[in-house]
Amino acid sequence: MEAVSVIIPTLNEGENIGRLIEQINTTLFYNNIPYEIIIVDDHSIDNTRALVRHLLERFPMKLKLKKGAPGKAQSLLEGFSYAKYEIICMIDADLQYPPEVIPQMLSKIGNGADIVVANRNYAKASFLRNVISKTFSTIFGRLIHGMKVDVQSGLKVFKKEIIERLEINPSPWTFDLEFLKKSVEAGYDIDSVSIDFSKRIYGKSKINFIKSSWEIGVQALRLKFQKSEEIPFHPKVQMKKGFGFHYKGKEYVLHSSLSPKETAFKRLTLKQKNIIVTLIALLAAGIILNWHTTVITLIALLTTLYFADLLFNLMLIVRSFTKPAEIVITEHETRKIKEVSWPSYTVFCPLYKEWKVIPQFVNAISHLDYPKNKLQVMLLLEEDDRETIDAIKNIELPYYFEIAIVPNSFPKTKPKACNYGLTLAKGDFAVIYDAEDIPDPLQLKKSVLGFAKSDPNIVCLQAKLNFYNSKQNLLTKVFTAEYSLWFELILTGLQSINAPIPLGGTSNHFKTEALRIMNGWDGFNVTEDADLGIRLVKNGFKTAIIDSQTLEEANSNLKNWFHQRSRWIKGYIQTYLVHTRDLKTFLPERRAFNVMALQLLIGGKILSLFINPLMWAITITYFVLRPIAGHFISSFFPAPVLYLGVISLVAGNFLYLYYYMIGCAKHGHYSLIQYIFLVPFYWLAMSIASWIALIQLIMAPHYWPKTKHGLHLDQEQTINVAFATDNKQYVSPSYGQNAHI
Amino acid sequence: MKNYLKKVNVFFSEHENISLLAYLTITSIAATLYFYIHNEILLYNDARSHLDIARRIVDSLTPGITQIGSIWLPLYQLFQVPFIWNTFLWHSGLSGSIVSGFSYIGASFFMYKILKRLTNSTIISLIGLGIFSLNPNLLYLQAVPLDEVLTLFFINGSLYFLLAWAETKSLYSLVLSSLFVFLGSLVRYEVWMLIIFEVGYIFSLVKQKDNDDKSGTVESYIILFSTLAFFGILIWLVFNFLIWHNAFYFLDSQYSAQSQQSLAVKTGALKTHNNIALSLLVYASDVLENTGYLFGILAVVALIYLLLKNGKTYIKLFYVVTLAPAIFDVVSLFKGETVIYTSFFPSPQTDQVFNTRYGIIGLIPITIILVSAFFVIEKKFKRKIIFYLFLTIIILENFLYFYLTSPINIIDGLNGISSFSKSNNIYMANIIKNNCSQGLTLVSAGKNESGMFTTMLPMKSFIYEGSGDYWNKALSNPQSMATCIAMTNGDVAYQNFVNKQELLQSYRIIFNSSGTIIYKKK
Repeated sequence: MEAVSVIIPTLNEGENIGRLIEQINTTLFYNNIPYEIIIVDDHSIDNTRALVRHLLERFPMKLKLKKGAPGKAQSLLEGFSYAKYEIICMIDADLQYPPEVIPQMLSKIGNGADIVVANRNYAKASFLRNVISKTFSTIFGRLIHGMKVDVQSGLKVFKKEIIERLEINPSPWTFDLEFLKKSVEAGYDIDSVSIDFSKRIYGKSKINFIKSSWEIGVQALRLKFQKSEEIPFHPKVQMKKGFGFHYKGKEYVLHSSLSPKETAFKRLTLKQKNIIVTLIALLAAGIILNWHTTVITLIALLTTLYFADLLFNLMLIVRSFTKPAEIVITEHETRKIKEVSWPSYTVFCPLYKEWKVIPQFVNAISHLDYPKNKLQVMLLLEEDDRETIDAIKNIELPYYFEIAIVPNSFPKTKPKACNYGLTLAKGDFAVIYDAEDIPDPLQLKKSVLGFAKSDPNIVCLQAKLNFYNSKQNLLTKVFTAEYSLWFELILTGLQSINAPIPLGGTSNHFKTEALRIMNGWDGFNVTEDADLGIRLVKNGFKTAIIDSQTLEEANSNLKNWFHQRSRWIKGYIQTYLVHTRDLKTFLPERRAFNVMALQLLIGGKILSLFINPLMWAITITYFVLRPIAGHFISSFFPAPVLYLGVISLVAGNFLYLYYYMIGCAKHGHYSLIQYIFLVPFYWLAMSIASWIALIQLIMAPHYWPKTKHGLHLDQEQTINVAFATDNKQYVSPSYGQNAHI
Repeated sequence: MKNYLKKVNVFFSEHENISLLAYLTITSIAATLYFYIHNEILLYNDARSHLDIARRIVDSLTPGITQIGSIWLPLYQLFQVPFIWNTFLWHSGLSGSIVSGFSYIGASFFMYKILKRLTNSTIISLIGLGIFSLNPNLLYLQAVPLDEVLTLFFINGSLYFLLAWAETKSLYSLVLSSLFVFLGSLVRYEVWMLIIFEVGYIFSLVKQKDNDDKSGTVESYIILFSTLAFFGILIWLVFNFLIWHNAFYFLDSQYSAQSQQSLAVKTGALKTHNNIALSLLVYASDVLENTGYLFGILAVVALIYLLLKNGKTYIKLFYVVTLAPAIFDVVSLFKGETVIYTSFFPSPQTDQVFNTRYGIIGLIPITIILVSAFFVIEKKFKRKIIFYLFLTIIILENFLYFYLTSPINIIDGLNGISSFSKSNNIYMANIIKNNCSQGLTLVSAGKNESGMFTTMLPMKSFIYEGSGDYWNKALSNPQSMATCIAMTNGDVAYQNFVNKQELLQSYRIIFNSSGTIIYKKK
């Protein structure tokens, strides 16, 4: 059994301490348990210290005079700090707790428990003590905090790392509850043993029952309403598992040292909550005092936002045409470099229950025109995804493929897997591809050259994404149009004005070192790509668009689309909330511009998704019920608001629709242009998804509803087109067979 | 001298755009000052109406966007809003002149760019620019509050980018061509025809290239172009529907051109109605009077030559597209929806000219065709004599012919039916100004717009069709709000009040002449 440090707080226990030490020694010595006893004396005025001093030579003992504030709690904390063994036992000096049970408690620690509490059996105690203790235990321990152990028990055995990890600030008599509650939140297991609690024979109790019960009761309630905190791993655990923490008992392993404050782990900061509450209060007060003017003001604000968004997008589209900023590398340029000169490149491919698309991915990667000995292709599998882990054993992977099993932990997200991958990455450059991706074969070479010929501050290159199954059904057609607009016009427009670029989910190429400086991805953000794009700007880095394409699978199933879209919107909300926590985290240079861009690009986009249906409904109601409600509705639109609103409604909706057409045409998706007239229905679906996202953000902020991939696999034609479209030199893979490269 | 010319050439090629804009700005300001000093800015009835409509957006009993009217397309009036609130710019007509002046600069700039794209010759394009920008009729129209030059600007812009698209297949050019024609479609109806021709042009070019059309490219180009190009028309139809509950109100209301001409059609006074040959002749004569006879005739020959000779199809088709607005006017004459009287075909009743300015649109195809033909011939024969001959023709035409006579559009403004000084509105304006300035005057704007302007009274002194509830109440109970009622034979007020004896209990007639009656409250 492991050695134990026994901590005994004393105050005028001269009649008991000697007996207790004897009993402890007898118990531990005869059970072959190495131990030390640490007496922390709270300035006793009897002979306690003299007795202890007398025993110091006989037993492995230390006597410490308490330095801090009076009370048992402080004595314990000081005692813990003197402990040299990894297991700690705390025991009251009044001889009411039998030390003979300590070996049993240590044995439970040996069997996996982190804390063992001696539950008191009050048969031998006084009736009053019995009633008070049981009442306390039931109300404050069991009912309020859900503790199934005797919280106030004066005999506990636990691992020293717990006390090293936890920050405990008890009042004189409230160590126990805070310790146990925080231990549970830190993910520790609590076990118990039963003991007979004896009557005190010698000395007097130091407890004033009424006072201490009140103190404990207040503390119990305070703890109940105290905000839970993230409790970082003990350094020893961190060495083993990587950076992580516990929160409300759940273990989170991030594989990144990104501070939780910079992540979407928490939805709102206190400041943000205050702002929201203030705004709601102002709105409510306005409605009570003068509801009509309040509604007009609200509509005016929203209309201004719409109008600003309209102008911003118009500027982006014009800029993307007139000042094309994307990096263009020709095939000829790539041919000039000798094969041996290319740097090493890591390709991350996070996979979760999508082993069916692996052959396609292997095929796509094998067609990358890049020296294979410089490639490290890392398939990131989740430990709990047995299905994929088993399936992949049957696939013959090329030598430059590696399999990395991401240990099972929260959060279960793609960025967490990528962070794990980053710890193993060997490449000078790194890129993420989804399993269903088919990148331009020259993309890696273009990326390397793109980095070489651009501003050193550009540490991320985003390739353009599009779909190979765009013609699969109506949904994929409109989805393709949306992607074409985003990657062909909006992102290039953003780059042209040096604005933050929310990255696309895949095909973002990084200088690996910069990615490490950035502490990788936010494992809690379900659109970690968008978040990283903003974070790059905050760190003085830049993103550029590279003229190279990756084809993906467009979501062809409406339900699946809703899953994916609501996740994206949830992630955008997370990103917005994270980056507006403290606007000073944007670098002073161009701060105002970047903050404004964030508001319009992310904040405005999200808000408009929520508000759009309302605005459409108002417009339709106005025209349909004009004789009845026309006057009433128009009373909310004074002339300037009306004009801005009409321009935003007519020009805004039209222009957005038209941008989709231009995006399609720019990409060469001519046959899709006619389907753009269906886009308003798509917008409506996006608004529905935004409400789903909001509910998810509240109920399950870090939940990642996995988008099903491979829905195109039963369409042989689609697959053939996929390889033929972008990679003209490809020979269509024979599907259904494992590709051997 | 040669060195000096070389230096000029180098400077121009390095600063082409800025040089052009500087030249055009100076020309525009000079011409406007000239016509302003000669009190010729407000000659036209329609000029005054354009100013009034624009002013009512900011100054009326019910100001706002709904004041942009419903017959004339709205963009010219809307572009005046930044200036029209200023009473001096409104009363002087300069708020319209500013818009027309900018339009002139834009129209001429794009004309140069079209010619440069067609000929790739700076000197020949500059000659074409001279033909276009120094045309006295155009110089007059760019100085006055009329919407023709704004139309030319958008047409030229659209044609330039269409040509650029035809040559480069640049998406950006296609979108910009569509954008310009969209804007033009909200200025004058002639542009609606241009849209149809441009769609046909795109169709034929894409179809020619992509014969099997497996990828749906043809439809896609057409949808991409048409969606924006036709959007202006859609907005206008919706606007008419929302305001007047009739999407075609501009076409068939009592103030529409169609209705205005219907009486003339019925009495047979509109000779062009159902007579295509005469329609063509009338319009051709109008164009010739606007552009100069020599240019006009040469251009017809040049067009035949260019279409028959071997050449690129997309350029030949482009020439045809430039004719679209003119074709619209011919069709309008044929259908009896518009009326033009020229020196060759004057009004049968009064022997005056009317609406001659419509022919200015012909300046676009004539300049393009003429310069293109000259370029082809010059290139073919490589003789300097041809160059000098062409230059002589231009000088003769522009500087001798025009400046020895008077531009037709000034004649129309001074003595034509378009002239304000020849209309009854001048009497109405004086009576209202002297008798009704203290209260509200009920008047139908549809027929008396220029009279309202000439009173120089604020627009909120009038109750007219655009006054919403005021108008409806005043029609049923004028005593409750109108100090004066002014009416002209045939207008809404006239139909409502003429011979209404009970009105005389509250009002007395203070003017009654040539179909204009004015009542004033007792």
